[in-house]
Amino acid sequence: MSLKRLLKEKRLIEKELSGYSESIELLEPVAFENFLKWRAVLKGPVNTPYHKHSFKLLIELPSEYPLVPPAITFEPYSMPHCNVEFSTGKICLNILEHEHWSPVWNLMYVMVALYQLLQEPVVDSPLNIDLANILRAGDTSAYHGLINYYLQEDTATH
Amino acid sequence: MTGTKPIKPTKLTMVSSICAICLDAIDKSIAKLEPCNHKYHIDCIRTWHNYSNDLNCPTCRIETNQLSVNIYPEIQSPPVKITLKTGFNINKIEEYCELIRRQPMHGTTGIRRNDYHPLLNEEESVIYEAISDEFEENYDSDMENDFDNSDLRVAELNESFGNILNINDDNEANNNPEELIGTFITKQNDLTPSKKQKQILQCSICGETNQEINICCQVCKIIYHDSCLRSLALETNEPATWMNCIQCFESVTAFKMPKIKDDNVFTFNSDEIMIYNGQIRDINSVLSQQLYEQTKVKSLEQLRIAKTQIQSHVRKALHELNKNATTSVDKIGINDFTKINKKVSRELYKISDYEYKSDDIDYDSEAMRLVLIELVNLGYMNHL
Ligand SMILES: [Zn+2]
Ligand SMILES: [Zn+2]
Ligand SMILES: [Zn+2]
Ligand SMILES: [Zn+2]
Repeated sequence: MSLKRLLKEKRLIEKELSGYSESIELLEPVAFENFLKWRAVLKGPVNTPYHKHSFKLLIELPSEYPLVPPAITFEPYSMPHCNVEFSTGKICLNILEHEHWSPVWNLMYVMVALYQLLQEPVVDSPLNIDLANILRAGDTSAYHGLINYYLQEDTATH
Repeated sequence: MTGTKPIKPTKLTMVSSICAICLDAIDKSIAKLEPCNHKYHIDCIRTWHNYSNDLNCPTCRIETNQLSVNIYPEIQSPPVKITLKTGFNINKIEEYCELIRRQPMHGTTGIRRNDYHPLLNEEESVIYEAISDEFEENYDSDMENDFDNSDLRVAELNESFGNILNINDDNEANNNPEELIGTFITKQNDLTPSKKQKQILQCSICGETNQEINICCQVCKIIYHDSCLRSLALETNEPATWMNCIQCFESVTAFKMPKIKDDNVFTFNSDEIMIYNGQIRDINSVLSQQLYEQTKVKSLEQLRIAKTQIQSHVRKALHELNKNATTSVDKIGINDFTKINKKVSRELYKISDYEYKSDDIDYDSEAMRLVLIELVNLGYMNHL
């Protein structure tokens, strides 16, 4: 099922991204000979501290895809977010878990879900405790400040 | 748990005539989950349910209880309902069909509608009834082609069974269905004229008809000796490819040659008997099995056409690369040319599901992509 479906997904993604996309800058296979590894660049949503930044993601598709979910991570040390482990880029999002995944979802759908996660962090299942604590305390300016600090740091070191 | 809020599906999955699992169009064999009415290919949804260990609809997540399958939407037959919870036991149906078919006096339609098998529950009887509709369909078209009236068919059947009884003095052979079919067809002195083409069951390479035949191609429905395939592969300097069918390049599988008495030749009517899952099978029983397995048995002719068309793209890519080669080192040698052509074409058949789909697939660029990979593997670096 896998390769043929991926071909179709690729074609449809190309079509969709040929116009303007609010959320996705890039979504494509890493190399022409390997459809099981993709890369993506997500745009930072407006009205969030991520705005005007973009974020790289690495996507690995298991050979059983779409029966099992894709494995997606942000680039390490690039995404300060409640539900992302900063040092590894590991994401906590239920639709990416085996027991919640559905084969009717696709890479495009997952990207949109990640974009929504940037808009609405979930404090109940944090992978970044610092950010979650500040957000729980309701200190919005400290929250924005810390994210900005991380993001600046990131731009400075790279 | 993060992000439990449902997200609107993207355009990819919104079109209803597309199966959201494989993204292919749903034309035949539409499987509708009930009660939510989301549609998938029967293969796709059953694979998923096997995998997910629940019966939820992958689109709306509602727990479903029934699958409504429209196998031939164009003839407006009532959909077959499969109760997902009890599961559907094809073996029972098959067993029954087989049983009925082996009865000498089963009449012209093969199966009578109201002969429900004691093993079948009500649900299964409905499915069974749908299948027998199928049989009647098939049979009717046979009738038009080959017989003036149904009595001839009965006469032929009786004649054949009479022959079995005459040939086999030892009755034990009658208990073995394979031998039964074997002798059934071996006896050639039919008094009933039949326009049907008789075929000989033989190795497609050497033409022998002996018991040693042990390999078949599921796609082409042809059989081989493994020794013939091996020596052919050696002759063409590709010993590793002996496991591939010489017509379609698909992997071959084991075949069980039916037992034949003495030096009789096994002949068969290709519209009654076929090679399926490594065995000689009655076409009707295969049909009923396929309703469930939905095996896409494309006709050989269709495959040939698809193959030729797909190969032309691969050749085009190879020729283009050779034309642009600046040095003689870059030129692709004849052996590599053949090898790449074969391998890439095979890959493309798989992607295309053995159909030529020029609307869906950009064959030129896919062929070029795959050819380049092969070239890199073979050390032709300058092409990149
Ligand atoms: Zn499907
Ligand atoms: Zn549904
Ligand atoms: Zn042979
Ligand atoms: Zn074949």
